[in-house]
Amino acid sequence: MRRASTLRILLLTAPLLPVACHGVSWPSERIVRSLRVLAVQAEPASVTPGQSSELSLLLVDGIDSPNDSIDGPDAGVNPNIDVAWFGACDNPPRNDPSKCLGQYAGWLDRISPVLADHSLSSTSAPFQVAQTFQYNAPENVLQNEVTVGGVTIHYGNSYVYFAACAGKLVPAAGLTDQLPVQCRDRSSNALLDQSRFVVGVTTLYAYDKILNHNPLFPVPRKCSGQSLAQCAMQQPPQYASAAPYSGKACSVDSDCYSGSGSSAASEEGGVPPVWACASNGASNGVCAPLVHPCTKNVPGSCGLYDVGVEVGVASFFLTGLDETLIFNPPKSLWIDCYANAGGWPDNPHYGFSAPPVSEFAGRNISKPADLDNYTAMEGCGYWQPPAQPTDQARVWAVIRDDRGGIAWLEKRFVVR
Amino acid sequence: MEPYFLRAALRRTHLSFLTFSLGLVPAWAAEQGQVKSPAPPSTEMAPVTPPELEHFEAAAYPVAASQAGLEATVLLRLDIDADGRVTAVAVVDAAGHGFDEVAVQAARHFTFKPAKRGESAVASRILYRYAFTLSPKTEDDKPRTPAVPQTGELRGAILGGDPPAAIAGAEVRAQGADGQTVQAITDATGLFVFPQLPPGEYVIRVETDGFEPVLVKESVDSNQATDLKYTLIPKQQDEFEVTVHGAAVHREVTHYELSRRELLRVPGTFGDAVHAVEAMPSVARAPAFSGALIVRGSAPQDTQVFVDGTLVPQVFHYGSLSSVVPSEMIETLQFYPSNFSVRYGRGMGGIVDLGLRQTNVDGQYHGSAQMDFINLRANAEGPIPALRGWSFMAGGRISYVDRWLVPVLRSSGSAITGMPRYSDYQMYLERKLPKNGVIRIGFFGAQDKYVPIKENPTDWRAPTDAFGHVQAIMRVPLSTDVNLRASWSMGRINSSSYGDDGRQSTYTANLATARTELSAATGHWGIARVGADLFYAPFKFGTVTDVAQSGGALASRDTGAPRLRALSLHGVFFRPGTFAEYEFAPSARTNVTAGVRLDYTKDTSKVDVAPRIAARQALSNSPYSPILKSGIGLFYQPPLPQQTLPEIGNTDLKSQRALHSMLGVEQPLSQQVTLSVEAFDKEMQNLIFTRVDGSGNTVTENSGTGRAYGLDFLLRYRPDARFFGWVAYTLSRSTRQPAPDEPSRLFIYDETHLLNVLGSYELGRGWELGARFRYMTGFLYRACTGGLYNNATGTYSCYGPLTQRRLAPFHQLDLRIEKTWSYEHFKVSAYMDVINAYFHNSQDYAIPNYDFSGVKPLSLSLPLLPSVGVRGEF
Repeated sequence: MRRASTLRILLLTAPLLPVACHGVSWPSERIVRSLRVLAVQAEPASVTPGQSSELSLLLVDGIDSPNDSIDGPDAGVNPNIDVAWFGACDNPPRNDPSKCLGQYAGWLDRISPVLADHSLSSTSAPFQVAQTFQYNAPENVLQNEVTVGGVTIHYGNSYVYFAACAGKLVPAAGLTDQLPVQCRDRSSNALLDQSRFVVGVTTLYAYDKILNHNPLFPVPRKCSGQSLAQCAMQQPPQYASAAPYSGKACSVDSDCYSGSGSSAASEEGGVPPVWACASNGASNGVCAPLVHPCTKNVPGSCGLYDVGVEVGVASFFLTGLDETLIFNPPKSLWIDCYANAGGWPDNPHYGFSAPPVSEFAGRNISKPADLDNYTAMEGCGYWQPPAQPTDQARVWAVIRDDRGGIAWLEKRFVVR
Repeated sequence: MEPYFLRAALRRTHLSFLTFSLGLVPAWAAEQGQVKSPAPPSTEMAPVTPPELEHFEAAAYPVAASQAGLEATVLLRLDIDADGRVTAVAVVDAAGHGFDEVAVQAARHFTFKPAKRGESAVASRILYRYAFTLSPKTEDDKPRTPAVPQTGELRGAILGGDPPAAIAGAEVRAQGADGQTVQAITDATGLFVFPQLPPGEYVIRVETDGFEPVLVKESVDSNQATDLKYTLIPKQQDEFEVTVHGAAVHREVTHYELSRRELLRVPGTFGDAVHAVEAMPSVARAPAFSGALIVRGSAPQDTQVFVDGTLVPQVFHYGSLSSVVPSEMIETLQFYPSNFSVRYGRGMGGIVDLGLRQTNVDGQYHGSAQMDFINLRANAEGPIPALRGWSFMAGGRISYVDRWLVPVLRSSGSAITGMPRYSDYQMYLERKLPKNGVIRIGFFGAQDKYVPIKENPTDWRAPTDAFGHVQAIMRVPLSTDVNLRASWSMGRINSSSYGDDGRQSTYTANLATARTELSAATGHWGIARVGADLFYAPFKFGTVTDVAQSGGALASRDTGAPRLRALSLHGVFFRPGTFAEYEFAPSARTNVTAGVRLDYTKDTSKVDVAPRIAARQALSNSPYSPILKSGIGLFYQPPLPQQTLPEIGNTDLKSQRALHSMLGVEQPLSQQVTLSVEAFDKEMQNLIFTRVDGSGNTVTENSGTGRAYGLDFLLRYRPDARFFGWVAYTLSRSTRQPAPDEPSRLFIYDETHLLNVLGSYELGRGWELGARFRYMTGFLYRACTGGLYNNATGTYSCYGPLTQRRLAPFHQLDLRIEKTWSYEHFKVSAYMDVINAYFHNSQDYAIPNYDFSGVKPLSLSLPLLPSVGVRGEF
């Protein structure tokens, strides 16, 4: 909570605040240097009463990425990371999920055995220890209603807390304002700090008349080679045969595509014409765009690469239970980008422009599949490669909508 | 206000020729709490005979005042030695406009028959009331000479006792210039009359058993009746000297007033009057550059600033380096940290009321200009030849700190993104009216913006503000006992700001305010006041906002998505108020003020009724008697305009409410030094809080409560010829509970210890040296256990139990040195204000990182900053 005046004071003095000449400089949140949850996806994105949805994490551990030198961060499922989920937080008072924290303190009896033995975790229980979580919407989840376009929609707001620990999760008693778990080192049992322990909450919406879908990516198309936004970020491995990308397994750089130009980015924002094998020390790697390290004392070395994502226009629209598109109101979509190396000169956080529905008029469009040929693109700014060479530089783009829908893309780069 | 006993001593004087009249008023008849100095130890009590005037020196009537038709009364304090010579003259109640100076000059040449104790001549101290009255000067204006000799009439009433009552049998003698004396005895109702007296001056002497005599000089005009009223003070057996103590009673029990000299010379303020308030008790340190006034644990928006009764929407320019009204135009600053009168409303914090200076009426043109590193300000005043009796005062200021600092910052690659640029202007036409009345018409305004440091930035977003007011003020005594005070203003506000998400909001309002107050003396003991206070503002508000949150959708506040809606709202804020108050002084030591205020807020359709009462009680008649003060009352504050707008606010909001109570004691230690201690308490209810729910929707509701309480200490040395200063300390605690189901916590602006020590001393030869030291508890910040990742927005919020920590305490030394060169027709001053003289790096904000896993202090304090300025006056 805040008082409006406090905000106004900050806004009025905003241009002067950077007078912080005495130096408050925090690392950018867009550079992953610790255990991070970048996104949680529910599939399906919304539910109806009694329906289930599976929640999964985009989990990245960048703790081993000092400065710009990357050495083995990974995303996705990691068995060395304990993940616990806390559900049963449907329509909390004042729509405030923190009101649910108090009840979890009383779950210690059921939490402790599951934390000790993960195999005891049940997908039907509100507390689960697993890389994914099975959310089961109660039958009475629709506690609220709103009228949109003359139609009354009943809906429910549900929340699921989660805790991810790069160690082991252990029960903690007496915590009423926090989840009743702690994160400890597996060997020393030392309490781990937030760089190894992530606590978060995600929202799930339930409706009686509408459905929400996670953002969709267009069907694979031949890379036009114009920019990372259109090509590099979302070139799927199965489309590897199309030049200039080669997603096949490689062991040496010669296995990857080598353009006729130089071995570095030839133009700002363009797709690097040379791809190298990001072997990561293993026998086989994958081909990835090759970029120059950004060394500030080497003039012209700092190429900036335009990163962005193309989504299917259907991502903007809800549907009825029969999958009929509902054009009004459209959803909001926005994109956040992250990297485990390098930097973002601007904050990579932008919203997509909603598509003009009038373009679809008279085209007999009623189902999401009818919109397959329509896409919307949004960049999330320029990525600047790190100063240190690495084969493991990664960029993530996370696309969200305002009803809990979420999707992401990941791309690896070779920096030499 | 005037204490009732002084008012009772005033007489109705009718115009005759250009005359001077001298009033000799016992000190006790002029001020409350006046007492005599203790007599030297003596076991023998002899009767005391007051001094008698032997030689009266006529003062030259100030020419400009005469031309302006001004009359005045100057109350002087005279020290008379045992030979009857005047050894010292001081102005007790000034009239300005040149009256004080000529009255002092004249009084220095008075001679007296010395006061006597028994048969021995002794030194004495008395009060003189030197009255200047005026009559038409032209031949046409003079009354026609009558065919028969004309006479006038003196009549009046004699009162005495506690409470005052009519005195029967008092002897009243009137001695004319020719030595002829007539005598009258008051009747059962205390009345007397001298029906047919030749025109001229008379020395009036009133004597009766048990009361000190009164010696006064009065005028009798042809065909006119002069009404007199004197209140006698019971005779004290052990006194031989009468001394005035203390200032006039103020109806507010919690009240601090800064004089012009103090306003201009508080070190560390760049000579800015409003910044001087920040050195008073009860005022917490505000975040750097914010310009917020945080009074007794209240939020900044709870305290209102007025300029002669007109609410000022913005008191400081951007960056808070200067206030919007130049100090040169301010005569006094009244500061009420709580328990203020019902004439003020719609606020539950404190009140700052800036009294604009009246124009000089010596017939000459005056002006001043001041230039320092930050801005240039100038003002001028003088008569208006084409408008007889009218004078003008005009001023303006323009900043230029950005013009030289921006290039410096640009070249140095500073992280600062913008510098403030501002200007303000003021223009008044003024006409003095008889009986200290005045009418003033003018306008004032200000403009503020930020100038980008970058050249031609493409993403420059910074707020702008501008306002302008046309103002008319009138203070008119309708009769001896009835006064009218009114101020009207019309103005316009234009404001543009950007939210933390970059969205722009614009606000335009045409303001009209009207404040009218009628005060009337009722009997001998009371003053009744009634008034109306109107606020009317048609507005337009434009913003880009989230589409109204449909059910089960995340507000786009944090999404960065452009699916937003441009919202344009217009309407009228109509907030009329009315108040009534009765001030009751049942004795010379007691003063009680009770009142009630009614406010209607159209946008909430609510009526607020706010009763308030305050009382003072001197424990004795001694000038060093402790004075007890207490007060309690309700104070309402309607929601901020944007909080009740449909679609972005809550139309069901109601006014926030605070119960102010205070108890204090004021202990005079000498004529210059006073110690006051006040305990205060504010109980707040229906506080408006804004929260963000789990879907990102902003919810504004009257869910909160709060409390602020503490102790104020003020040891103050009032300005004399050389020195002024004070030690102000406040011990306080302020808490808020945002909602019934949330824990109470310290208010974000809570500061436990507030210490201000300052002084300014005139070294002589035009040198003045001042210093101010401040110590304040560090700012609070919320210390998070960690961050909670919100997947819906991709952002973090504070996680874990509520804990608050403090940044390091703030302390700072400011120095000011000024040298003035005085010439016959002008003065030139050079000064240097050194802010933060020992370069303490204070902490202003706690900046968390993105996931709240760490926090670092941010310092915005100015480094050692000497500001050199030059001021010229003529």
